[in-house]
Amino acid sequence: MLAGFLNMGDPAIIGAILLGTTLGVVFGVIPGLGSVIAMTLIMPFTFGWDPLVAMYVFAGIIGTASTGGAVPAILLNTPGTIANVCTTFDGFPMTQKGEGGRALGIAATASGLGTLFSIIVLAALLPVAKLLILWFTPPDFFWMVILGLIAVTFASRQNMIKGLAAGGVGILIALIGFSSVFGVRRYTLGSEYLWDGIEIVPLVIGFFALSELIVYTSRGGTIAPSTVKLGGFKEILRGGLEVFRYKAILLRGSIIGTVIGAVPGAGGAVANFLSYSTAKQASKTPELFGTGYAGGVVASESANDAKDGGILLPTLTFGIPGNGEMVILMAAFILHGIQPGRDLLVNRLDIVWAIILGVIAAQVLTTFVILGAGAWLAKISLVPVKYIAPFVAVLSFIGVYAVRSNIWDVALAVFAALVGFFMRRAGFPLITLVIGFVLGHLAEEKFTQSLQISQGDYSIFFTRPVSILLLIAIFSMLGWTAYKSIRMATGDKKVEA
Amino acid sequence: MSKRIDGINLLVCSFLMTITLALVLGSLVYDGKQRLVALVIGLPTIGMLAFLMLASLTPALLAYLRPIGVSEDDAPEAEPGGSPNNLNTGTWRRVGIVYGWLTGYYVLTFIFGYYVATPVFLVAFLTRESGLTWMKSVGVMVVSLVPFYVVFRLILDIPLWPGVLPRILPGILGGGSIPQLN
Repeated sequence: MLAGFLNMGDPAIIGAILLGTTLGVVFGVIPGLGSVIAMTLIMPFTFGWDPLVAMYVFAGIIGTASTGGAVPAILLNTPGTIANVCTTFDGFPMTQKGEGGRALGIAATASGLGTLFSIIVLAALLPVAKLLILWFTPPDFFWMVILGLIAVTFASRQNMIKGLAAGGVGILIALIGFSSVFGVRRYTLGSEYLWDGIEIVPLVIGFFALSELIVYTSRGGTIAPSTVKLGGFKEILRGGLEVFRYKAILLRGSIIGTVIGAVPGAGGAVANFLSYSTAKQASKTPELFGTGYAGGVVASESANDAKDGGILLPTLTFGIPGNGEMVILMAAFILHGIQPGRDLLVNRLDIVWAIILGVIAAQVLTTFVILGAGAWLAKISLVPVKYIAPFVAVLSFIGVYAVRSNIWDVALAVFAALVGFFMRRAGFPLITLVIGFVLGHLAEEKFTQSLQISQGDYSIFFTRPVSILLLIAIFSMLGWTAYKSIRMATGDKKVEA
Repeated sequence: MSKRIDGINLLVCSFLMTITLALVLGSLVYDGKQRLVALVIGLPTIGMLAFLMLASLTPALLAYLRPIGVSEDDAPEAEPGGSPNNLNTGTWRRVGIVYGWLTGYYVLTFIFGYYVATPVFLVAFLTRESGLTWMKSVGVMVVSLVPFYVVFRLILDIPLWPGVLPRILPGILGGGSIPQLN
């Protein structure tokens, strides 16, 4: 670790951190791109570099992309990465109230603290990580996914039936395309486009960015009322310090991000949704969520950045990549002749510390960059929307196309914008459809794997210790919701009487 | 305040119901485990959507559903103006115009590709909707598209969609048989 700190004075490593951070922020800010594309594009260029320097570049990207993605999420209601979706729920309403700078300050600080928390946990858990990961079997993963799906219910407290129905549709849509579990293509209606299933990026860009574009462009004016004062650097700093008023949300989000990050296949989006809905559920003022509530931004941003530490755990210790980012990191390991797992932890501890310190350095750097530039960025909210709208459309169209170079993805995004607009108009929470879509495929995969292991015996879902713990958590959450609903209903009746 | 049949809600529910029914009925052709999730999730979803459709047609029904999360507020107020009020948007006409711009940009992109459609869309939008002069629109378009080109084409080397014309024109004009110069 000490050697790692000393290495950070090396100009090559400083350059690597700056390069990784810049790439991470730029690719995070542009909707549809994200860290996976940034890492994929830079990987071939790192061939022949000192592996230590290369790892600092990758760590810089991993540590910053979702923080960069918070900027368009807050200012334009366009999540830079999938893991920033929940940031739009409160970040954008804050911008509409002229508090975009404050929201950026909150997001930058919550992201920084979330990452620091998860990296400290990673450093502390590395020695015992093997035991932790081996506890999780497919039925446990299945219940973990179900726990995430229960969040659908919580996320749609005001429209529970509409939320559940939208979540159900999301899960069903996720089943379209090639199933790696069964090795067949399903529900493609004979369309080649559907062979690989529905892509998440056009769905999210259409639902959130383009449908919002329809809303604010048809209305006109500015995103924030032109009479508000943005407050400049002081306001951003106030936002940064305000995070400490939401200690419980910050800690909960950081823990959820770290734990969910460590579960292969889950990732930042799941952590983001789960943290947001749990914070809303636990709050004494849940009605404030979605209206420009600072706690909502803290919940979302702390979790999606805290996943960085968690997600590195299975990758470094077992060579199990938990998401797309880690798959590319594994490929980079192979490119540089590094073997993850025991060999890495015993013989190349310098690489492990390079990644850990690189993520921390890049995150701290990004936090200060956003705090410093936030006042300037927040001015976007006072630009008339008639000037912003065409650029959001162009950015969305190119971003969606860039993911897999398919022009039909753009058509899907345009169609999703219309569907999203009408669903919002009818009071259907889009978040539940998206979370159902994200988790649906995973639920089916783990369910089937479990039955294959038990040879069709369903008791496998109820006999493992971790499964039992997760079931208790699920029923506790459901029970708590029912209890609060009944109390609210009886309270209303008393008031009416 | 008077409540009326919620047409938008009915439309959205019908659309979601169509997707759900298509997937659930489609699952019947697959073997046992392959259709398990579609049935387990799909059937309750159909039930909920049917219920919501019924509630859209019978707003009074909503009053009994508050304890299970459906609020009376979901039924729209009688609107004199005809604007999608609860999203704070412009009128339906404005919504249609904005969506028309998006659709037009897509159609243009599909036919002529990004290199033609994006400058045309930007100049047209900035002139018609933003109220800039032609000269200013062209200037803004050039200044703003240069970074896009540098990032996507030169740095990332992402080949942007060239449009459907280069694919169909050689067939129409007979250019497919002309050997390439290089």
